[in-house]
Amino acid sequence: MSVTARIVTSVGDFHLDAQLACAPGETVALLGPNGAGKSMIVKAIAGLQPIERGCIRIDSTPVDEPASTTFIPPERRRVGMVFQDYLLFPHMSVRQNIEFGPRNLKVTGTTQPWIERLDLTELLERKPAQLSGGQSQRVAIARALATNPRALLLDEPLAALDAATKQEVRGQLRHFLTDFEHGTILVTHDPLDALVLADRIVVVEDGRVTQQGPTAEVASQPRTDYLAKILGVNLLRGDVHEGVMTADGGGSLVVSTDLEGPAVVVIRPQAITLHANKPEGSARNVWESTVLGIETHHDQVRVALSGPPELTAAVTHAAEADLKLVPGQRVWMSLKATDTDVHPA
Amino acid sequence: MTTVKRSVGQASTKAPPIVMVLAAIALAFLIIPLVGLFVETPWGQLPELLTTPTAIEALRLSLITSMLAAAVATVLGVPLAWVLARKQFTGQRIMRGIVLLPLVLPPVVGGVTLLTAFGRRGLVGQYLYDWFGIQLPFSTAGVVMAEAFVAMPFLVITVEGALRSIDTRFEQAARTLGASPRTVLFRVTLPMISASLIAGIVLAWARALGEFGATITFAGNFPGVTQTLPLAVYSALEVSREEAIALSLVLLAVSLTVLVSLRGRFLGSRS
Repeated sequence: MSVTARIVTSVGDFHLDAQLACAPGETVALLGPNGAGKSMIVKAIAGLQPIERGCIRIDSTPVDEPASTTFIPPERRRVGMVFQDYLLFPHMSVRQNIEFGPRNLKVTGTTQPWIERLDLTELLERKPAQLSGGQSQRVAIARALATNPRALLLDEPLAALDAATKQEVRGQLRHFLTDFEHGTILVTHDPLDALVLADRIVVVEDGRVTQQGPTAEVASQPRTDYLAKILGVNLLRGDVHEGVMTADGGGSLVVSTDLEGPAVVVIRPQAITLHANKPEGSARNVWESTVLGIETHHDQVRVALSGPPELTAAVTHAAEADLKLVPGQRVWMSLKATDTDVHPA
Repeated sequence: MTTVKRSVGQASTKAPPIVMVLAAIALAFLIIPLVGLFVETPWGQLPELLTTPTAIEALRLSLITSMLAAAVATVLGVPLAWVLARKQFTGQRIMRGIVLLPLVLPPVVGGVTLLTAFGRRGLVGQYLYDWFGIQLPFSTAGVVMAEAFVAMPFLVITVEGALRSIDTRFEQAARTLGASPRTVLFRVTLPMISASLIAGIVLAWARALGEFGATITFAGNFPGVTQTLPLAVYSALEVSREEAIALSLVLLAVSLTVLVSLRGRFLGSRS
């Protein structure tokens, strides 16, 4: 089901005023620096932090609306939440953890499917202390989903994992989220999580929503300094087969990966080189395209190039002057396959 | 790694001689009375001494009243600890002070306060007596009250400390999983602090078992009704030194057992 919220609240000197929406089946990433208020937003949606003004609706029913003194307590909201460090109850086995919610809510038949989906059959009798980070995360997801929630909230679900596990779990998570029929809101400070997992990105900075839109759009056209610093990347979804990625939006490029199947490719604009004439060299992706637009940032110039696939390159002011770049101009671009960052999706 | 550890250890174990001497005296001061008790214990007569009617009555009464007192302290003390740990309200500091007062108050004064409140002509006691015919002083119920009065702070501070130390986000997680506040308390909070809760109960029970001053003041010293083990020791000293020693030995054994079983989990501190 959908979630729509306008959340106004404050803790001490910190003020949060954010508006967001999440459609059924959609995954929305709340992306922002630490302390931006992302966690407060999901806590408010879960009912763990009452709001001061605004309204939170789950499937158009208000669950927290100070104006009408509506406040549905968390245990009756049916919103699943996965916490950053999972918070599995240490005194309960994995099975007891997963059955905790269904037992409270008197729902039946919901645990077994998730136990199987998340491959937890072997771990049921273990205590949380005996689980690895990735296993704990799967238990936390199963525990949240076993309550048959109307929406799923993930608060930094990958932050507690080491780098190697993170990559693997991120791919698995994408898989489950695609199958979850209701809305999912994901809190993260890692742009890669948002790029791989989310359909839309809502950027939260200092208690405000500073930008939102489809993932690829936000990724390639960051409008705030913070976002430009951590994102400003090209994001392509598609299928990889024998080192060639066929983009969903058309076009293809040579990538550097062993991966086969659906993938997300991240390309830093700095990795794309522009040339006046056809370059000869080791770059595997070379083609001629048209300059669609030029945007000047502090120390670099971002050049939007026609596709397919459409890409953005970043060059220095000097290079821009040398090439005399103007919209509509034809240029050659090159990109080394090793400069592509491929993630399973 | 080992070399670092050793050098740190050597540096910190180099104590001035005066410290070692005083520490040794302190240890002796604590040990010698125990040795005295063991030496003077008439080991051969122990079975007879501990099975006199007075001793058996005192043992029975002590066990019953101390367990009831521990139960009262738990049922009332856990909610009090929860309120102190989780709620913020004006007068909280004063309230904590009042809760801790019996820890430092001379137990005999505690007995006097109970008497002035619950005695037959006391603030509350007169109504209890006039309306319901209930007379608490000099009754077994009075013993339980006196013991609970002095024992409850031990439970409250142990449990409060534990409640403060656990991550309340576990309770939030439970709420999102459909648990009512009551379910959270019984299925998440209390199980998570179970070790400290048990420690608090044992401490409260041990304190109740050894209670003397408040009991003798509020409940008197009547064999079979209010004469608990410590009171029996006191009475026996005037009649039979051997019996007093034998009963003391029982209390000492209980104290040692409690101490060992808690292993430093005293008053919320963790080993």
